[in-house]
Amino acid sequence: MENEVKVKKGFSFTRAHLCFPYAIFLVFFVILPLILIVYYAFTSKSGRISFENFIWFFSSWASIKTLLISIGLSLLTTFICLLIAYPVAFILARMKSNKNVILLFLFIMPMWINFVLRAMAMKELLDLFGIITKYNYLSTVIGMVYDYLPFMVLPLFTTLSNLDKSYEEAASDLGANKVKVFTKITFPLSLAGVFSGITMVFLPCMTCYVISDTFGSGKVTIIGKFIEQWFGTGDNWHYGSVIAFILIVIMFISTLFTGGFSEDKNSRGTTL
Amino acid sequence: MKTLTKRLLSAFLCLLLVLTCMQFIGCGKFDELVIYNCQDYIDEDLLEDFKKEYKEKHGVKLKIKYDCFDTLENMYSNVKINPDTYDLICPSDYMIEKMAREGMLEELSLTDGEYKQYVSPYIDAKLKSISFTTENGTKSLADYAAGYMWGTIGIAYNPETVNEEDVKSWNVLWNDTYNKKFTIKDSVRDTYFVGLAKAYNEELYNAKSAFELNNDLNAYQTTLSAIFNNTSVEAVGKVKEVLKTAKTNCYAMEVDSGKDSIIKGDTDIYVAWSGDGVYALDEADEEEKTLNFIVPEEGSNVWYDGWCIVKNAKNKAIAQEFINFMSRPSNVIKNMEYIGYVSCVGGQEIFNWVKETYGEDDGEFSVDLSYFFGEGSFSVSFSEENRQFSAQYPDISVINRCVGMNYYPNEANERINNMWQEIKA
Repeated sequence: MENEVKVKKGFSFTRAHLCFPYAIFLVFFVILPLILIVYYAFTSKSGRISFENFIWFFSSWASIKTLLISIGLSLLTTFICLLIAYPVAFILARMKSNKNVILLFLFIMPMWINFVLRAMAMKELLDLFGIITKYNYLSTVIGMVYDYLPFMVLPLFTTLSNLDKSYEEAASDLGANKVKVFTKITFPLSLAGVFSGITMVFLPCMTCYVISDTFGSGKVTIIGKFIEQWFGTGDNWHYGSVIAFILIVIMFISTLFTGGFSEDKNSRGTTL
Repeated sequence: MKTLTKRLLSAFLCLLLVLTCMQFIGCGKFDELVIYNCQDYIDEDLLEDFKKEYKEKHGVKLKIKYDCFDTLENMYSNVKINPDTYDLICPSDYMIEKMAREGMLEELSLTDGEYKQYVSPYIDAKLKSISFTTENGTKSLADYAAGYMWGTIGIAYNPETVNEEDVKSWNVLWNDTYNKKFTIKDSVRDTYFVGLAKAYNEELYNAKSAFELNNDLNAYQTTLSAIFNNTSVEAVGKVKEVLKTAKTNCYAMEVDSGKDSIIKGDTDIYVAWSGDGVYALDEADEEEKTLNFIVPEEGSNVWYDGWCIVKNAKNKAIAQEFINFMSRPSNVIKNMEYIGYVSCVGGQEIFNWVKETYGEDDGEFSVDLSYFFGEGSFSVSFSEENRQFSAQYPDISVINRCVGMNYYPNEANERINNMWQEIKA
């Protein structure tokens, strides 16, 4: 009996305790803000529970149009990123290991340079070709692709280089040509990387209005800009929160589709 | 080995003790002032100067905590959430009004001292012109704010490509000749103002001709103020239509990049706050290009920022001392040289400095500034018109057609922001 009491009193450090810092972070910076967003989204200015913010959002063509444009721009950007990044990641993963590290660095290094600086430099370049003011949407997509490409390359590279080569060898031994090996074996096995790349490009694209502001001459508006407006000059946190809430729902759905919650062992270590 | 450890440990403890003592001696008693200002909006050397002066005067060390905000709205919510954190803040006109109305500001008692002595009569009258009822009776903004910097909104343009007659009216932004050759501000309040100038163009011109006939400045200003602060459903609807066209026709909607665009020659017309306009003119001068700045004939906005003390601030007395310190002509000049905006402080000393800085040359264009500097003769002549000087210190004829932009009540603010959302989408 006495022994048992002693055991309870003493503090023994276990692995579980290592989670405390993250748990605290999670509560203060993820869970609490989420609760606040939900609270503001479902209450009116007088503090009563209501759906008026949702009615406001869905009855305004401007909001819906901007939401659709944001989704469209993000989808396009993600698609282009994937088109560019997949071959690159594939080639890098197949190279001899000391060479590919250097090449990979060349792709990742832009991430180390300040984002605003990069955006400004790219803008000047596009300006030189006269794209900036004539084609606002085109230059916005170019800006987004430029900024988010490394986020697509990295997970694809990780998945492809961790891929067990014996599957491919087995396929070619059994008579599959190179195209078939790729479509039947390599690509399906790298899907986890593809999905995590998509998540990392598509979701931030929807809200990063700095890019659309810089590259779109202030004429391309994505939905994140409205959140800023309603928390700023608009001075209506309820409207701002309802947009944020709707975005969370959309992102949740898109994550479901891209299998972000599935427990595929191949996807381990692909998200940064 | 063991003794070595012990020795090291005791040496370390001794050091710790000495350091702790030093800290007590060093700090002793100190006073504190917490300032919350817009970014890049003060010469920070002046903070050090004030600390020195405070130490000499009171024999107590002063610590200044200097924080910056990026937008007034962020400042507002931050002060609202942390009412005990800040002593001195520096909002713009409409935000001063909003905060004062909501009882978030402490009344100033600047009865004597440099601010009262040197503040421009024009700014003082502007502050006094906005009054409202509080629980302590009728108050005006002058009871809550001490003017800091001020300016107008106008148009910087390239005189080689733009006809001067055209930029005398805000209509220039809807003139097909300048399609894709102008930028407008990507900010709700400023661009709504410009939209009103277009939507109520006829009314503004009528008011102007009435003023030219009867010379009744009060009536003119009242009419202008009513037009430029019209937030009715009808006005917002009209502005929406004109701004839609402006958005399509403009080169860009910008907050920052407009300067570069006009200097590089991508655009010829740049709707700008006077401070930014002067900056663009200066930069262009360096590249041996000439730009001009003009405030259109229909009228425009005059804005100002002011020092305010947060309600129940702990260091009110020090904050007021700081306001007076910042209003001392020598410090005003130092500050103006650093940030490039125009101070709300007038007086002979500033006038002399201004004249010298902008190089008066007794040309044919004269600028009458007695409205700003007070009694006496404050007129300057230049051989070139519409340059830096008149952008910084507009002639009385320009000032007569400029009015402030009040704060929009909740409902109106929402209406205008919804309109803005439709423009941007």
